[in-house]
Amino acid sequence: MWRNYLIIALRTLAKSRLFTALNLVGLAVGMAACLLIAMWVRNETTYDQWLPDAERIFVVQAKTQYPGKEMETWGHASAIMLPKLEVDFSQIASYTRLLRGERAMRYGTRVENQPIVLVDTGFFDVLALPLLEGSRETALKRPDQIAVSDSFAKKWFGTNPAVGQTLIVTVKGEKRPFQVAAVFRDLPSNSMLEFNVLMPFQDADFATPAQVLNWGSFTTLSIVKLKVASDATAINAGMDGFIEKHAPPFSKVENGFYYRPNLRNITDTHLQELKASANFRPQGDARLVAALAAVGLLILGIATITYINLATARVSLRAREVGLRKTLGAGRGQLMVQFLVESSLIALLAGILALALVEMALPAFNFLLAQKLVLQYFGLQGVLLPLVLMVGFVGIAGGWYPALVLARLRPREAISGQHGAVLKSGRVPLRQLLVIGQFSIAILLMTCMAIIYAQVSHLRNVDMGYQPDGLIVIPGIQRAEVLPNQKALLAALLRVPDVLSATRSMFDPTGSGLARQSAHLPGVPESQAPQISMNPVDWGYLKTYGGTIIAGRDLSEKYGNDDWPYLQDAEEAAKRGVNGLVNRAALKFFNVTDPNAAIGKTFKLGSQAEALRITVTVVGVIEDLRMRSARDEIIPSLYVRGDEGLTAVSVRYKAVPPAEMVSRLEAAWKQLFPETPFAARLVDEAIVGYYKNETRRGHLFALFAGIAIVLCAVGLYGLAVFTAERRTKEIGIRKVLGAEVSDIVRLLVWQFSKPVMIATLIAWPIAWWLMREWLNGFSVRIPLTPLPFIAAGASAMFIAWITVAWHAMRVARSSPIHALRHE
Amino acid sequence: MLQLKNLTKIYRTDTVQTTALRDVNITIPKGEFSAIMGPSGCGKSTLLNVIGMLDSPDSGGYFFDGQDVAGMGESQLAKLRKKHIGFIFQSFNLIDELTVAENIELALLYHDIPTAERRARVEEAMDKVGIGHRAKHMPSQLSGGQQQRVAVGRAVVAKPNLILADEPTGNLDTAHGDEVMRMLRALNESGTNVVMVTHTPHHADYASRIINLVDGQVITESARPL
Repeated sequence: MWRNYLIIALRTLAKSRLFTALNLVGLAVGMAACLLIAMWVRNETTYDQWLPDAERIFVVQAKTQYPGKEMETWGHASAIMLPKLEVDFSQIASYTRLLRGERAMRYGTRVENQPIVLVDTGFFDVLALPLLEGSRETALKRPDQIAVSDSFAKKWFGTNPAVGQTLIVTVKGEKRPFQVAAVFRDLPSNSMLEFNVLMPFQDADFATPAQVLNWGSFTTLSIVKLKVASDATAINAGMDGFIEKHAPPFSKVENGFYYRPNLRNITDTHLQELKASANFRPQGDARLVAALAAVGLLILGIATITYINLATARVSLRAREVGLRKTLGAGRGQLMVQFLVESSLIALLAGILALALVEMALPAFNFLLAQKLVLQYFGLQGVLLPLVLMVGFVGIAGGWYPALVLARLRPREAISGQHGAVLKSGRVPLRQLLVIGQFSIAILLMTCMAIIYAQVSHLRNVDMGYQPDGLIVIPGIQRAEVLPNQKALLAALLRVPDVLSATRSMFDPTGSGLARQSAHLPGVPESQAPQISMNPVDWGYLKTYGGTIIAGRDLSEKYGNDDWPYLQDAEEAAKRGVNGLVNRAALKFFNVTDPNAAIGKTFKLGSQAEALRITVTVVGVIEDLRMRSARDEIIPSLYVRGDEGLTAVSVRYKAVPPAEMVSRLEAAWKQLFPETPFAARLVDEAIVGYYKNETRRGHLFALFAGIAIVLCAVGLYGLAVFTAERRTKEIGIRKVLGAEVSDIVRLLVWQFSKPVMIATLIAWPIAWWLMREWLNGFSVRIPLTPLPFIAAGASAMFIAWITVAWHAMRVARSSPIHALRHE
Repeated sequence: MLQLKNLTKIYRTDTVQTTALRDVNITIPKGEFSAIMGPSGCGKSTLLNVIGMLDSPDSGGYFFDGQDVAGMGESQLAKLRKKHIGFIFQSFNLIDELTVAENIELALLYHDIPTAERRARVEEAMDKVGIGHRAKHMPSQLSGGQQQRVAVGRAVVAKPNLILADEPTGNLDTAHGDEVMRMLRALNESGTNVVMVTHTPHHADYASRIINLVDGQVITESARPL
């Protein structure tokens, strides 16, 4: 019996090659897309679960709140906190802080600037990374030790043992020997951590003492290991008392800034929604994971529906066989089994094909998602189990309906060719509903894709308030050897041919970071003082960036008070005050809309005692400068001329290829600092980078929308064949009565326009709702116009027409005699 | 063997009601070869379908081997059908994807018969209808007469005690038609009941009784000694 099922199945597949190919390709593409997404979702949701004792490892995050604002969570915590936390809470077994930096390293003749991570001595107690050389008990316990990754060791020391080797590292301008104490296995891709070099942490490693001592500065990724996992709740509950004891100003929201450390398990941080992520790898997005998982299932659904439609389209060809089998005594159950065997066989073949497709598409998929997924067959990350489930699902779900329809046929009608009547019965044909569902999904994806692309393009072209092209940022000017020579560097850079201007600043568009201070305005209560973003800059900042003054004047050396008061006596400095520029967004502080009205206004800056707060006088108002992605809101900002804490030089240059300019700047740098690694970042490239995630998301939606619409077309084609076959006689009669080919084509095409139109009406509101939510996450967003909706609906309709018209044309062209002989 | 009592079959659509069989009373004793004749649309095929349990009557009784068939469900009918009845159709109805032997074997697949015995019976049936040398051929490689021989083979392989033939010679030329008729007669002589619908008086002559139907009613019945 099974042999017979198999023979019939295989020969049927072999006989109708076109349908088999359509079926196989449709299902395989759907399954492959679903598998790829499953692999990615699995990777995203298992971050750091590989860490030994992961359930006991917690990241200490910062929860903050400003008066009248929502609570925000930051991935970093204050550096000063962890040692005190360990003393106060005995449940903490060990802790480590991680601070990213860069060091010049030398081994033999090789000199390279290397990203490093500074860690506490408890590092390996907290994160028991698998070691290839050395021991976790002794490594990183002394200040002159260093731990490196497997790939770093291979690159620097080749096949020689790495432990015991000495690297010369430049620390604060001083070259010091460090001994390799451990080699750890390279970190897997599903980890929030990423580093190749670990070095011991010293407070002196921070840029400014405030970064170590200030409870309100969130600078380090802080990780603790608890003795028992469940203690986290008790520790979190004890944080009120902890802050009250060590940092009373932060204990209450009314004090202007509320702050609580909070423990969160390391495995839960990747997909967390954070104000700023401290994870070393790009932060995940729970909503994207959910959205893609849904898309994966939808695509599998579409592929299954396509299969159902194609299989049902073949029903009439199999009806005689079914009738005969029934006549010979086959029961309904036996027939169902037979057709389920057939669909399972197709599903199995499609599954095998899907695996091949996954293997081929993985590099491209990895590129799109910036991932390093690897195809594994077995184990938890293996694709075999999901594949088997998928084959089972498609085999049963896809075979069920055709099997049911066929098994329900009455033998007399099936044999005499009157099955058409049976197949036609039923009020709303399920197949129509399936096509509507399919197209709804495809149109939904297409609409989302169009809107995402439009938004990303809008973001890229948004007015930054300055000229991003022709601007290069050179970071790293706080290095010990550069710091005292910043002015000489500036002069040297200005001498480089085609450089138009150069300036220094604390923040620039290529980095991250933000300094916020309280702005105490006359008549505003102490506790309600708004926050202002503080931007120390050098002379010529506006000129170099190409910002616009909309009222007042630029900062200038001509006015003594335009420079920050660097005085020994803080009270004296506060009294002298400083002139500053504010942006348009800060106008609301002074309750004015006319920028000119803000000139001459004053406020006091900082959260120190009142006598120490520096008075700022507004001498100019500038157009808002966007230093971050347009996802972020423009915040009220203050620009003052200062010399301290400046981290980068920005260079404006004339029409020269960027690479050429970078090498000229490097040459100038090397003359001053031959041993200090040089780095340069193009601002326009950095801006493209802001929207990398959105761009990728757009590509992904485009890919899956494309797959969905192709699958829909295949399914629709099947339905068109089915319908045309059912209406062959009608078409023949119409032709005999004088209908032309175009009339027939129109008749058939119209029949399929209806479900697509209904699908469009279903997809639109869903897409509108989803995209409105998504767009609301941006401070700069496109309006939701009807255009992408109409475009997606129209494209779907167009594709449906082409698909159907092709077959309809063939049917309509055939001789009416042939058509009438059909039954 | 079978008895039809006041049997009526009506086809209904939304607007039209067609009486296909009206008060049909027929008794067919064991071992008979009966031919049903009549003009197109007189209800011959309907009658054969009812006898073959592919269609159920609207009223009246149908007794098969003494059992009342009228009230049976689909699965009971399927069981009865596969045990007792073999079918031969005008258009052969062979499955294109199966070989000659596989087509014949199909009739045994829904019975619980061990593989070895099944093979043996297929061989036997092929020999009986003289198609053994074509066992591995596909239906499309056979002539009409050969295809109908396969169909006869398939009808007899399960050893039914009733064979229903719906114009078995309708698609065949005279020579091949006679060949099939001789086969049916031989089957009948070995004890199998045959009920055949035919248009051809010449082929009806092979039967021991001719039932004439007009407008769904039995007009004449003539029993003739063979």
